[in-house]
Amino acid sequence: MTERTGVIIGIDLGTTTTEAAVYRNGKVEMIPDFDGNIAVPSAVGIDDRGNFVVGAKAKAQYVLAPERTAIEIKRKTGTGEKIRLGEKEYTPVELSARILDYVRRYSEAWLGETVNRAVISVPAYFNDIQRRETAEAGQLAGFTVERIINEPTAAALSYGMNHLEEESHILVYDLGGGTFDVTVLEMFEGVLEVKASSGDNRLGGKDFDQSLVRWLTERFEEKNQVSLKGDIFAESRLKTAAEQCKVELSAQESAVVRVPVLAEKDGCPLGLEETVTRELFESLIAGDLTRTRRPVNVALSDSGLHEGDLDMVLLAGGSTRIPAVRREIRGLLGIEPSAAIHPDYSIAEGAAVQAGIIGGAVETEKSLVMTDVNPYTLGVRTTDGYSSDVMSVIIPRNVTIPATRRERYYTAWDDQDTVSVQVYQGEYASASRNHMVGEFEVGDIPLAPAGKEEIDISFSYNQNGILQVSAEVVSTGKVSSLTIDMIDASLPDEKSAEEWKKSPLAREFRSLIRRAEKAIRLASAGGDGESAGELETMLAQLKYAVMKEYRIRAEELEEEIREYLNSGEENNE
Amino acid sequence: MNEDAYKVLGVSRDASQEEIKRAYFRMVRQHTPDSDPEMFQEIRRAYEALKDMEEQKKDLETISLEVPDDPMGKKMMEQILSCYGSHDYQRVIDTAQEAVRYFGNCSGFLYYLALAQREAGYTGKSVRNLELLVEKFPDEMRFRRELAISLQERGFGKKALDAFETAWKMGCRDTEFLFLFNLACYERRKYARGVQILETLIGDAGRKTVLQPLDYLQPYEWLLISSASVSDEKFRQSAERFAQFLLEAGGGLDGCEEELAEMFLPLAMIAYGISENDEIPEMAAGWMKVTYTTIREAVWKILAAAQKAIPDGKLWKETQKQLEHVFVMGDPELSISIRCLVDAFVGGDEREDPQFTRFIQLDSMLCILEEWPENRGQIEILKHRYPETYSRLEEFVRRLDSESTDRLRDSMLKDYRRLAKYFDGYYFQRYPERRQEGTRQVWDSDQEGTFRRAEKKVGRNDPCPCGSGKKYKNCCGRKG
Repeated sequence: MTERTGVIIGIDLGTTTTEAAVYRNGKVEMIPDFDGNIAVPSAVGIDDRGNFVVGAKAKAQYVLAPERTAIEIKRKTGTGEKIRLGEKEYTPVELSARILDYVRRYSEAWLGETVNRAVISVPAYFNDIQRRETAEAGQLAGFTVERIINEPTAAALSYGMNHLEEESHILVYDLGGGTFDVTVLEMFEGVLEVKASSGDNRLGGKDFDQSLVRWLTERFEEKNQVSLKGDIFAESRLKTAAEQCKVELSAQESAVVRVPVLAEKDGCPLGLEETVTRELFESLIAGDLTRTRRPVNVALSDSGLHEGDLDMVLLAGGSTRIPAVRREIRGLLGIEPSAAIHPDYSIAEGAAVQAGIIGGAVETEKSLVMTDVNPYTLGVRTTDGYSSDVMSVIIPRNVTIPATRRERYYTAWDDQDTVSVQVYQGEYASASRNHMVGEFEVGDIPLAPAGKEEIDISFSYNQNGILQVSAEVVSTGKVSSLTIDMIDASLPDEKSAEEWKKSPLAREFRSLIRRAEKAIRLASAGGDGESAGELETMLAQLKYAVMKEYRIRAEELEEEIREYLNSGEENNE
Repeated sequence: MNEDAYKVLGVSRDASQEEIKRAYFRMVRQHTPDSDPEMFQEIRRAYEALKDMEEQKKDLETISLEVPDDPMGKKMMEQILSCYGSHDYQRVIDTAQEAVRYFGNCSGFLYYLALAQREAGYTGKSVRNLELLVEKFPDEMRFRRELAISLQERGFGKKALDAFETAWKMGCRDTEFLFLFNLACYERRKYARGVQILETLIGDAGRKTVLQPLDYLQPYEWLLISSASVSDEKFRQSAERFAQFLLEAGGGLDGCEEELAEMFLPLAMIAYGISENDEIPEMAAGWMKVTYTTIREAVWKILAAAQKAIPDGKLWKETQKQLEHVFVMGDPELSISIRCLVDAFVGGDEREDPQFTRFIQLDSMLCILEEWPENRGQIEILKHRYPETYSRLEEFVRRLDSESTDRLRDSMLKDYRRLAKYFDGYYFQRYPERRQEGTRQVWDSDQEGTFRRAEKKVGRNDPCPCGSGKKYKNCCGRKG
């Protein structure tokens, strides 16, 4: 589809804001959007004319039209939930893709060249499905996703780039809008080695806002004896006000929350005005802050280090500006957090450094070598005599990649001549609850009693997300193998193409698909192979989009196909 | 293998840890994971092997194991350590046996021989070797610990429990030890002691080693089950503690939803067993010291905490439904008729025959009608205690309230009598009209809540029992 040449950009697709950066001329540069903002709000909306708006414009309309504006999309990634915008429902993947598409467009404008390759960052604690969906969003936005990089690793890279000579143990404390990540790394001789990661996928600045919103709501309801439950306008206003108040409280001791019109009672507009002191705010978020302790301890103990061994704590994510968070870190680790990196930009910078290393823009002598760990467990489905749905782990989570592991398996019953190797990724003990990524069969096993024949299965996994699986029948030496690309979303194939019928979107697009199929038949019967081929490609893409419930993409394709069909009919007339 | 590891990293055999590390990082810089993944993996493997061996060597020093001061003996020890590190226990056994034959009962060889024997399944031999060691070094805690574990694996319950106690007195507190100690206590029915051990594991040891939340679930499950045999109060405390833990762990529990959900049913089954106490031997023997109500309340509390910890969990609704079903079935405050009513409506999911489901639903509804309105209070209990279940019955309760009993009965009896013809001979016959015929009434206790058929099921393609001559699927068995 896209050529794998040209510049690679680094993107930090955050819960609240998104940033992009590029490595060129020996340094990292942040890329501003059309309005000159570097931090672009991660918001997507539909304006009153029915067009999509992204970034600051979408964020601005959130207060006025929350029913057709989506924020905090990242929190819904991988949950299977839909987001309602106006009349229609969208998947988090396609809304994220809208943001990434916007990033691609403004990057092209700023750089003055085609941009179609990217390194995208995700929280270290993102699971396999969330990673895959992030990559899918990238592809949908027209990028070749060169790598999915962990956010704390990116932050450490952006630091390491400028401190190549250092030998230190670093803890990255990344408290963003929606997620909390802790990663312990060791920097030594220009090599950055990830030692351990831990975190909490549902802890971040948005939770702090929510605590404040809850308090404000209670106060307001008590004072005015009205209920705000289910009122999305009030909620969006309170959310925006609370967020602003939180930001102000990082610099000053108290802040005033003012919402001119929040609700109505007996026809009279009711406003809200509250003074929030820093002390009060800190007591509201105390519970959430306690939850940051365990991941820090887990990451430290997994890495085999103690508090005293740490040389530096790097902060990333906007929420680390909160004084209480810094105090918590000092109390927990006994170190003053470092201000060496920019909490908002460092992740995008690190992603750009990684992009530069992949693309060769970073000079070899300045290059930093990074070793990362496998973010999720990989294994095959086996039987243990009780259940035939056991996840047998081959490469565990947190193993340094690239890694190759081999396990030996045995036939389960007498005269078994084939073995089906089903490859799964995920953390569940029963294989079927995990994500199946591939399957193949090993045949021609010599007939023998159960357990006599041995099959060696080896997994080889690298940091580009390529998994190579091979199975060898030990007695005959016959090898079968399979290569799976874990990041590249599977392209539409014969089997999945028919799956579209089951999609909730199928009803809307059925008639067009039928019409196009008919046109293809006509065209190929009439010897017009060229247009039949073209149509077929578009139709396959449409079916895939429908199957994946990518509404926006499907509607674009619908338009294209309809135009194509119409023009064809005109020509015939 | 070790020689290779040294060679790969280009260091001498007596290199210090610092030198090994430096060599590793230097090599990685030359052979990066991107440019030379094959070589990188080899370097990594070598580095990990050497690191593991260092760990084992350190271990050796802390328990001052004897190694003969002889180049041959040292070499054998090194081989044992490296094989042990790569879980090749058979080779450890072979090497260590040879070493023992050569150098006599040297504690270093004996120790690893015993450990490897245990791992390879030769628990008896492992016990004998460890007994030798304990005899020789009675003050060494590690030997006592391993002996206790080997005894436990061998199945010498009483001896194992004594050995665990001895090691405990000497200060052994690591997680694995405590967990196995608990198992030994449970098997010997020393529940109170087991609870003590688990509390230590969850409390102190937990703080020291910082386990992942997932690693705690199993100890907590045992804690709850053991507490159930100690006292009502203890069970309540343990449940409280677990709920608190879940709330604190929060997002750290991601991915453990399945394991967590699986913990509930066994607890609910204890509650069910208590109320039907002559069915299950543990209950009949009075080993359970907890009451039905305590368990029910505790389980709801834990479930609420679990839902809060994993708010987007997909299993909670199903879990809640299952739990309510089991609890209703065991609730001593509910009459048999009410329980049957719930079972007919909620348990119906597994029955494939809609006609049969309809039949037992009618049967149970008619029974309720006989007792109406004296059993109104029971329905209220249902409504408050089991909202999910109640929602399934709402329609029926509404009719009970709004229509006259006689009319309702007449309308249901018509259907009931028709269906009764096809299901004649089924064990489950409760409605008085059929009971008079002197039929058996069997509550199938093995499979709570299921009703066994006495006769063969009418198949879809069999002639319909109503005598119409059509196939069952085209006649009365037609799915609505």
